[in-house]
Amino acid sequence: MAQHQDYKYIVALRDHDNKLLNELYRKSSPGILRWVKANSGTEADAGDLFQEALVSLYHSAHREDFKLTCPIDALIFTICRNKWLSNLRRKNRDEEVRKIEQERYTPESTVESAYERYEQETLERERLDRTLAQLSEKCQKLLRLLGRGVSSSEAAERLGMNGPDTVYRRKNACLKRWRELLSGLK
Amino acid sequence: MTSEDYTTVEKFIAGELSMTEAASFRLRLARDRELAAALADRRQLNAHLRATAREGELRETLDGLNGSYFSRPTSNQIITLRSSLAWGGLVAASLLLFFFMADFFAPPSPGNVYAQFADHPDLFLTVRGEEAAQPVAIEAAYNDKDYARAIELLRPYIAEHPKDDQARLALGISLLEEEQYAEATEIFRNLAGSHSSTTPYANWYLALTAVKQGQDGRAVNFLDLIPASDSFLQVRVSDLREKLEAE
Repeated sequence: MAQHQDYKYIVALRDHDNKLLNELYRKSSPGILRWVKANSGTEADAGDLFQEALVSLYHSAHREDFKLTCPIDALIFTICRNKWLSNLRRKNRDEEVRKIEQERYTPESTVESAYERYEQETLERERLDRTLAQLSEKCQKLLRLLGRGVSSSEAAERLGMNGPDTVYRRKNACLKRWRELLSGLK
Repeated sequence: MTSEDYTTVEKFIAGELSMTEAASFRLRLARDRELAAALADRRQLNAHLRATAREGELRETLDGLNGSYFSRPTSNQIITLRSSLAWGGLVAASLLLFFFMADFFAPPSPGNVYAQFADHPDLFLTVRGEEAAQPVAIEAAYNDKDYARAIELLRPYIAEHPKDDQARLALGISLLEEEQYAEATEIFRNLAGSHSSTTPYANWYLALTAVKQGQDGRAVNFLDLIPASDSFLQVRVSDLREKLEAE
């Protein structure tokens, strides 16, 4: 399936394109604000939900296989709605939860499947965070440095290693351990 | 999968295979599910590390936009650290932010490394002019460095205001001062994992917790997680890094 035309906003998130992000806020934030305020939330709650939804989508945007197959504001709304419901549930605000659940909200199938993929990606991210956190300090540091695009030579210098070859060997050892941890979670 | 297979995956991702090797790798991918899964996992890790490395910068951009499209509490409301930091440009919060930053970035006093950097921010749970009893008592205890009392008062306050990141951070700092490291670390970790504007500050305090326990290597790891774009914290980060490297 082809990328939806709103995919440009996903690229804007990945590239921190202020102009397009401003356009996204202008287009999508009023709906979230109205809905959150109508459902016992404050403007600050709406802002937090909106921002967290964008940060999650930013992470998804880095996946090579990421596809946006529905309008982005519909996806953002579904993410914010579900997140707000889960916040209310956590605080045992049952009456408000019931009120929201009684709404006739049936997202289009493209939005529903986009949200399912988003949830799956969120779970995968949590799995990666868990496995990374279990690596040794040195491994975490090395992988994060390399992830930032730091060269092997610079990483060697910053971590007090002999040179790029040591970095390469160490990285492989770290990845081996990471794979073991990952397969333990599967 | 052999270790050679994994090495080939790495080389494929890095673009280090020759054209012939890459073509043969692709052919193998089509029929070897295990190899394809290993490549997918590895690509996912790469993407995750890349995204995480620049998340701080994105948050900074979004904080600015959020300020234009969503207003924050300005009066008769409790202001949290999160709002103070994320909405630092707002007039209503700027006074509080000034007090906060002025103290936080005062020159460190001599002594051991932890003591030099443990000039904690003052706590402002209330907006000036508002005199809610509970926040006022907490501020008094915490700002007077009576951390045991602050812990006692902050616990019930946080139970009522679980989303108040400033109070949670203050509880973590109080526990750190009282050498209750496990609980302090848990609080900082939760804040660091919240992917909010408090995250860099939580990582800063995770670094200080490590320093206080003599785990300098661990401290540097947390310093690495603080985005370079956080110009406020970076001053402190580079000072602390220098001290740790000199030790």
